[in-house]
Amino acid sequence: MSIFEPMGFIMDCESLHLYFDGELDTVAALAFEKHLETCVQCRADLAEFREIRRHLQGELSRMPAGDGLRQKIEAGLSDAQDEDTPPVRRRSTTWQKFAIAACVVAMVSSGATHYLEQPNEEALWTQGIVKAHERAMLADHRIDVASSNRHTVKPWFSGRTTVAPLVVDLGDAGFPLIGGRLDVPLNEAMPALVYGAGPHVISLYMRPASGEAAPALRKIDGFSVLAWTGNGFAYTVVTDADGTEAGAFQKAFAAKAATMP
Amino acid sequence: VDLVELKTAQAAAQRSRFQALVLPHLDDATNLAWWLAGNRSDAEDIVQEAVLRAFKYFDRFSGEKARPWLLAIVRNTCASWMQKNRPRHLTLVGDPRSEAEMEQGAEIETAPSPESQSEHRELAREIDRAVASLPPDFREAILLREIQELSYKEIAAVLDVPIGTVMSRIARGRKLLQIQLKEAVG
Repeated sequence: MSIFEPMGFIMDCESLHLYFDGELDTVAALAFEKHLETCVQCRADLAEFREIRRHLQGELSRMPAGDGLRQKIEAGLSDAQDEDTPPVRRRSTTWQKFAIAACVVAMVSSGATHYLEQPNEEALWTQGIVKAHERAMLADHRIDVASSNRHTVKPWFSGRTTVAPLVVDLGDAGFPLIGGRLDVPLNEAMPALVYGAGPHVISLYMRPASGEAAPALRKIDGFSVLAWTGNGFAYTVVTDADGTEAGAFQKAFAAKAATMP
Repeated sequence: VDLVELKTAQAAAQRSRFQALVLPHLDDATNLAWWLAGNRSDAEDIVQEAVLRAFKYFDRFSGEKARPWLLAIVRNTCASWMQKNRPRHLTLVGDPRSEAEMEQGAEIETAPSPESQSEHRELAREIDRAVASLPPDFREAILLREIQELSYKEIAAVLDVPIGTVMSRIARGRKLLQIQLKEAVG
């Protein structure tokens, strides 16, 4: 069944799905609604399609990505990047610096900057502290001040760094305070608190930040890296323990921190 | 400037951009793969492969919507994966429902009263069955439209077919569901 509209639109049953899926422009949709007024079949179909959509969206089984899959993917991403990054660190020579500078100038002037990802500060910081943690573990230089007493660890940092860390005791939760260490992840000395987690070591970095952000877990170079914001600091945990352990530590720390003045 | 450091920083930035733009759609990707492949372990393999492929070609991703972009890769990975791993004559009629019942049984049983609960479960099973029994071409078109709510144009891009084809697959898929569910639900 079809009708002829004055503006030249012929709308018939053929357009039912387009109408239902919002693929018609306003004029065409109005023309189709004219057709609907006269077509019993289309009205009945439309009602049933609505019903089917409601069932599909409400009751059709869904499979979300499980934790196992997410972890496999994160690990896969790390592997993919490791292949691209040369393992040996080389200092660039003067001519290489010139070459890089020339490339950058060429890219800026050719408008190709779109393809050059600006390394953001956050990423550099994270990369920096992972490296710092790794260095400390490799050099077996875990702590500069050894103490399980937070009243000893906290004052030790004053005068050595501009950041006064929030030190809490988590021995009850299974994460004993081992001490503190001074690290230079970017270009400034920053406090790192060191906690034990069974056989594993947790380095906790913090720097002043406002606002709140929920914990986000990543795997970098085989370490669990968990970052969150709250209580005036942006925190990052770096540890060889797994993500679950890092998460448990985060919960314990955040709960204790919330009770601190 | 250390060349290696610069590269590492760029790689880290690239990765956090990928994590921010693409990984939020992992659930949608997994669900689509599950419905296309018909079982959990194949779906996980496919999604893993697809996401790594997406990461590899991420520099080619330029500003369009990330979700249809990822779904296109998942769908293509799925297609080639099935060609490789399944004999051609084996027509796929997945039954994700039975898996869903085993794994999410507890969640399904949250309906208010026993009668409406079993009624609800029966209906949900019929809906799963109807979708699973659709021919693959129609099933993917319906899923992309009704679950992912993509436009015809986006679906055409994901499936790499003309819009006219999308239109007829959705129309025919919907008709088949209508018939199936009419028999089942009445």
